[in-house]
Amino acid sequence: MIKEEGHIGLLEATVLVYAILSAKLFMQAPGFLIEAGGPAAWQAALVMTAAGLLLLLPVGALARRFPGQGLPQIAEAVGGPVLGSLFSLYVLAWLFATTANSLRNFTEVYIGTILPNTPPSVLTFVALFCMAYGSYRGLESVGRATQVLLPVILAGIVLVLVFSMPRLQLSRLYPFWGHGLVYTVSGGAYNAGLLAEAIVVLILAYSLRDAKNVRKAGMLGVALFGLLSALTCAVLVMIFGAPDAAQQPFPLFNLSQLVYLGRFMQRTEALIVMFWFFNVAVRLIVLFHALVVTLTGMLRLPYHRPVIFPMAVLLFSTSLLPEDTLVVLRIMRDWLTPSGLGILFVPFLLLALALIRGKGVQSHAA
Amino acid sequence: MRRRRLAAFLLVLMLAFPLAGCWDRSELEEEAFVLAIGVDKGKQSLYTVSFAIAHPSRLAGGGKGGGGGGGGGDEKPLVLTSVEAPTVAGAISMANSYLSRRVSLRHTKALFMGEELARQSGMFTMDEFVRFRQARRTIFYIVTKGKAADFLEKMKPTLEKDPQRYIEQMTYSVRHTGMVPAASQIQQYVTLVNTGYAQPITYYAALHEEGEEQSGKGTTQTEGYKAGELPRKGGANVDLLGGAAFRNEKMVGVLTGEDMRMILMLQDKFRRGIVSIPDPSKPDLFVSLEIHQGRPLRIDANLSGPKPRIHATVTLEGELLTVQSNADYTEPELQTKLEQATVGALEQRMRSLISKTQQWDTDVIGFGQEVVKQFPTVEAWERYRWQDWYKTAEISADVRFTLRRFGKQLSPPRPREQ
Amino acid sequence: MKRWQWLKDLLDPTAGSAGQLFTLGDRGDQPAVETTGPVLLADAQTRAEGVLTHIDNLLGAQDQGKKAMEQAGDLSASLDENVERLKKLFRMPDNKDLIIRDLQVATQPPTRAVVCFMEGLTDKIVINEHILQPLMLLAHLDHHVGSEGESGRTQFSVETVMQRLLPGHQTTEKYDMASISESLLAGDTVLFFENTKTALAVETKAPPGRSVGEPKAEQVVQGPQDAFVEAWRVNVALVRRRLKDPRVVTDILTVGRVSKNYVGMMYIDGIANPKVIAEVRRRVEAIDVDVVNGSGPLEQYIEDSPSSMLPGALTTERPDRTAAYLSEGNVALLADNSPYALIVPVTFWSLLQTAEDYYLRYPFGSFIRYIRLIALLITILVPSLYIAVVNYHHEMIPTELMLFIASSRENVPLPALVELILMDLTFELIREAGTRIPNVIGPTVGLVASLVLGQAAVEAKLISPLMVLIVAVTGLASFAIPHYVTSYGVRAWRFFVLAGAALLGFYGMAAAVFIMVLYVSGLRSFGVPFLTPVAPMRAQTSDAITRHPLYKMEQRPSYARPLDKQRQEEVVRTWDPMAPEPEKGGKS
Repeated sequence: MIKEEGHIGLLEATVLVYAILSAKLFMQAPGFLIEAGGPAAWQAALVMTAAGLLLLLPVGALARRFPGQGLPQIAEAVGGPVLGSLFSLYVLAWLFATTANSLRNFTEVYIGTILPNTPPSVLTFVALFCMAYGSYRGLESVGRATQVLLPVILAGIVLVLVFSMPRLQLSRLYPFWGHGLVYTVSGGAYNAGLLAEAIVVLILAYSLRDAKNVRKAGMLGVALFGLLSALTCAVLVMIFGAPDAAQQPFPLFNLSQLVYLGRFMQRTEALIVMFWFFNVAVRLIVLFHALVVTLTGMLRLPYHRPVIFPMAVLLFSTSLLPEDTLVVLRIMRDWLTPSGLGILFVPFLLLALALIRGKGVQSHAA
Repeated sequence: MRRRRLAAFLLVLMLAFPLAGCWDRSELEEEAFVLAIGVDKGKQSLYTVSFAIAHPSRLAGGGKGGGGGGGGGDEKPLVLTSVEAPTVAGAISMANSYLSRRVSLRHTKALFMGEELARQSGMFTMDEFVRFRQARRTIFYIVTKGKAADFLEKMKPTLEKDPQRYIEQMTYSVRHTGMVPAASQIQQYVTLVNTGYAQPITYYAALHEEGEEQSGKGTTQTEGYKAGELPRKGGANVDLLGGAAFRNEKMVGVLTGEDMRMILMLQDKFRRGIVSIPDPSKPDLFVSLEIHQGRPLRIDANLSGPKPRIHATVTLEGELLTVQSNADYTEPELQTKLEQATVGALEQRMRSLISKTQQWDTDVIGFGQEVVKQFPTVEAWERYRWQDWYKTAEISADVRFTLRRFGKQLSPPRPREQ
Repeated sequence: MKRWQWLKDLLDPTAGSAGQLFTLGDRGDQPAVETTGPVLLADAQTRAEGVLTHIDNLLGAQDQGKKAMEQAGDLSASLDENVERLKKLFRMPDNKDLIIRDLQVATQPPTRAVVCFMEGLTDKIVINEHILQPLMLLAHLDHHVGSEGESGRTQFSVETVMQRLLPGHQTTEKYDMASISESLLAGDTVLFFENTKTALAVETKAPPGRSVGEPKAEQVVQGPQDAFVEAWRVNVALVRRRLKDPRVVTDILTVGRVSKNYVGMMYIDGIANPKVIAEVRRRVEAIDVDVVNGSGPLEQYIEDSPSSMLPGALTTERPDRTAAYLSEGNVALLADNSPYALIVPVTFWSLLQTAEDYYLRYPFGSFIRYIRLIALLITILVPSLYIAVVNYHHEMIPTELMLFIASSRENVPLPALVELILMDLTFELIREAGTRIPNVIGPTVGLVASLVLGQAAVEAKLISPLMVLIVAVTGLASFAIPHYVTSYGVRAWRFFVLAGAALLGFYGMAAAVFIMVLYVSGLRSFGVPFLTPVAPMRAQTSDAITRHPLYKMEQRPSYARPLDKQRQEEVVRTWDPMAPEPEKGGKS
C-alpha cells in the first residue's frame, strides 16, 4: 500500500465527506434542485439523499471484504487486470473531470463575486498550490486540519442561513408539491449524481483503521449534506421564490449579500465568502488526493508524491478549457451528474462481482 | 549551490508578476462612493441618471483641524451629478470620464425613481441591480413625487449630516408608526414580481415645499395624508409617508399613510401606531389610541364559488392615549362603545383601501400568498391566474379590537363645575 | 629624535604596514604542519603510553578473574609516572588551574599520595578538612585489630582508605586516565597512591552559580516564584521537592565531545511510556558534536523538524510546570548551564498555557485561556484583515467609518500596505531594541518610542491614526502568547498571511491561513501529532482550551500514552459542605 500515509478516524472521515459535498452548496447545486423541484426543492433534496444513501450501502461490505485497501486495489482483485482497470479508469476519468470542473467553477465563483479583475489563472494557481501541498502532506494532516477548521466551515453556511431568517416568507414554499410528485422524485433521483463524490470514501478506505467506519463515515457525511441542502433549498425558495432562485448561478452568494441586520451587520458577504474558501479548499484537496491515489493504485506505484506535480499541471490546463461560465454549469448538469449516477453504482457492481467470484476476506461470524 | 541560487532567483522573478499589478486592489481614496442613485426620464436618452457621491472630508468631518464638521454648513456633503444615458451602467462609464475617482456602487443605499418614469415604463432597469456585481439587492427602492434629480438636490436632513443615514433611519419608522411599507428593498420588489403571488409596494417620498397652503383632503385625521401634503412646517424637508402601489413594473397609484397601515395589518406585519378617531360620545372631538397587533392575522380563502371570497380577521389591542371629551372610557359600557367605534373606523378604512386596490387591479395586500396554499402544483396555480380574478373577488375584513390599558389616568380631569 | 623617526616612517613609502600589524597570515589555508605537528605529536605520545600501560595491565590481570580484568586500566603502579601523565594531559605548567599536592598518608608505614583538584570548581574547606586532614592527621588514630587479636596501626590499602580513612560521601575507584580527567573537570578531587594502580575520586563539586531567583519570562501572580538556575543539580532538586515519589528517575546523559555537558533526564517510571523514554535517550545519545551549550541547542538537535516555525519541545523555567508535566507522563530534560527545562512531547496547546491557569478557579482559568486564544488570532489576522478590507472589499466597512478613513487617508502619501509594513517593522525594531538595551536606560527608550514615533508620525501625515491603533493592538496581542519562541513563529506567520491578503484580498488571506493550518496539522513532536487533543479528537475532558474543575480531571491527557491513565478517584470531594458528618458526635 501507499507508504508515508497515516490513519484517520471516523470523525475525520465523516467531516471530510461532508466538506467535499457541502462545497457544492456554494455553487449551483441548490439551483439544480430548485430547477427540478420548484417550491418543493427541499423534497427533491431529501429524495436525492435517500437515493444516495441507498446506493452507498454496498460500500461497507466491500470495505470489510478487502480490509486496508482502496478502490483501485479492490477493483483489480475483483475484476482481474482488465475489468478492474476499466472500473478504475472510469472512476479516474470521472474524478478528473469533476475536479477540473470544480476548480474552474470555484475560480469563477470567486472572480464573479469578490475579485472581478483578477485573471482566473492566478486563482487557479493558488488553489492548485493548496491542493498539491495538501496531498503532499498526506491525508492525515488534511483530516486534522479539517477538524480544526470545522467550526469555521460550518459557520460559513449556518451563519448565512441564520442571518437570513428575518426575510423568510413561508408562503413561497407553496404550492406544496411543486411541479408534481413525479417530477420532484425524478429530478431528485437524477440529481443524486451530485452525491457521487462520496465514492472518495471508498477510494481512501485504506486509511481508516476500522473497516465498518467506511460505510458509517460515508453515510453520515451524505446524510448531513442532504439535510443541509434541504434546508438551504427551503430557505432559498422562501426568500427568493422558486423561479428567481433557479436562475441564479450562485444562490448562496446572493443570499449572503442580502444579510442586513440593522445598521451594523450589513454587506458582510466578503467575510462569509472567506469562510467558504476553507470548505472548497478541503473539497479540492481531498478530490485531488483521491485522484492521485487512484492513479497510483492503478499503476501500482509505491509512492504517491511523484504523481502530484504532473496531475496538477494537467488539472490546471483542463480547468481552463471551457470557454465561459455557462459551459461549466452545463457540463456539471448535463454530463457530470448523470455519469455521477453511474459512479454510484460502481460499489454495487463490485460487490456483486466479489460475491459471484468469491473474492475477498469472507467475514467470519459477526 | 549555484543551482539553488538560480532556483531562488526564478522564484523571486515569478513573484514579481503578481506584485507588479494587483488587479483588484484599490485604495479607499481612489474611489467615488455613490450613496444614492436617482433615475428619471431622459430628454436625449432613455434615462437621466443622477449620482449622489459622498465627499469624505466634508461628510466625515475630516482628520485634523476644524473637527467641528463643515463649519459654515453651506458646503454640501454630497457631490451631485446627472448624466443622460441609456442604462445605469452606461451612466457609470460616462460619469467616470469627468470624475477624478472611480465611481463605485458598493455603498449605494437607495434608488430614487421619479414618479413619471415609474408610471410610464416602469422598472426594467431592475435587471442591472440584480446582475451587476457591485450593486446589491438591499438597496432601498423609493419612488419620488416629481423628479428624482430635484429630490436629491433639495433634500436636506436636519438632525443628521449624512442624507443616506437619514433615509435609512426613516425606513425604520415602520416599527413605531406603521405608515411606510414593511420593507421595500430591490430584493422584495424583484421577488414579488417574479413569483407573482402578490404585487410590490415601494416607499414614496416627496419634498415638502414650505409656505404652500394645503387645501388637500381636508381630513381631520392624522394619517390620511399622502407624502408631501402634510400640513406642517419645519424639520427636514422630506416626507417619507405612505407608499407607491405597483402592478408588475408599472406604478399604478399612491397610497396614503392610513392605507399603508391597513395594508400592514392585513399583511400581519403591523407593529404599533397611533390612531385618532372621532369621539363616539361627542363626534366633533377626538380620541387617540395606540394600537398594536394582538393575535396573528387569519385569512380564509374560498375559491369554490363563481368569484373567490376572501375574509380576513385582524385582532388588535390598544392603549388609550387622549380623551378630549369628559366621557370616562374606563367604565365598561363606554369602553365597549369606544371599542366598537374603533372597529367601525378601522373597518371602514380597510374597505376603502381594498376597493382602491381593486380599482387599480393590483393585489398589493398579498392575498395571493394565502390563495396559493390551496393549489397542489405550480401548474395548477398558473392555470388559475389569480391576478385576473383579483378585481372581481369579494374581499371583506373583520377587525377585533380590545382596549387593554388606559394610561396613568382613569377618568379625565375636568373642571369641578361640570 | 623619536619624533624625527616617526615623521620619517610616516613619509617613507617603502615602510609598509604589513610587517608591523599582527595578522594570522595564512590566507585561509589550513595551518602549517609545523604548528599543528608538535601538539598532535605530544597528544599522541601520551595516549600511546597510556595504551601500552593498559595492555600491560590487561595481560597481567588475565589469570586473575573477571573482576581483575575489568579493573585493569591504564594507570601504572608508579605514582610519579601517573602524575607526569596527568600533567602532560592537562598542559601543565601552562595551565594553572590544576593543583597538585603531595602528602603522606599516616598509615603504617606512611604512604606517599598526591591530591589533584581544579581550583575554582572545588570546595576548599571540604578538601582541607575532609580529605587532607583525615589522611594526614587522623589516620594514625585508626587501629586495626588483626585476626589473632593483636592491634596496631592500620596498614595501607586502597580499600582501607576508602572504607575507613576517607570520609567523602561519594568516593569511587578510578582505573583509567580518561575517567580521572572527567572527574577532575567536573570538580572532584582525585587521589593517587604509591604502588597502586587505582585512584580514588572524591566528590567535592562547588561550581559557581547564582541562587534560586524569580522567573524572568513566566511570571504568575498567585503561585510559586522560584525558577531554575544554571546548576542542574539544583534544578533537579527543585523538581524533586514537588514530586516525592521514589519512582521519579533522574538519568544522566552527557552531550558534546568538548563540552561534556550533563543532561539530566527526568521521568516517572510507571507513568511515562517506555517508548518515549527510549526515543528521547536515543536522540540525545546520538548527538555527536563538540559543544552543546544548554537547552537551546539541545532542543534543536533532538526535535523532529528543526526548521519548523513552532518549537518541538516546551521550554520552561518553572519547576512547578515541569513537575506537572512529569506527572502527566512527559519526559523532562535538564541541561547543565541552562535555566530552562525541555519537556517532550509537547502539543500546540501546551504552548499557549501558563501555570496560572491552574492556580485560579476554573472559570477564570478558562477565561484567560480564551483571551489568549483570541490574542493569537488577533496577532495573525488583524493586519491582514485591515489590508484586505481597505484595499479590496470596501463594502464591508460601515459607511461612516469608511468615509472617515478615506478622508484621513487623503493626506497620506503612502499606500496602506506600505504604511502597515513600515509600522510593523518599526514595532519590531522597538521590541528588539528594548530587549538588548542595558537596564539603565531602558525606560527612556520606551517613552521615546511610544511618544515620538507614534504620535509624531501621525502629525507628520506619514501614517493614518487607525494604522497606529492596529499595529499597537497586534503587538500587544502578540505579547500575550506565553511561550517566547512561539511568539516569534506566530509573528513570522503574520507576514505570510499579510502577503496573501495584499495580493488577493480575502481569498489570498484564506489561502494563507489554510496552508498554515495544514502545515501545523502535519507537525509532530516525538511522534505525537501537534494538534492533539483537538485533532485527532480525544473525547475525555480535554485540557486544551477550556479548563475544567480540577476535581473532574480524573484522567491524564493521553497524547503521551501514559501507562497509568487514572490520576484521581472518580469522586474527589467526598464530603458535602452542607451535610455534617453522620454518626460521629462532637463534630459540627
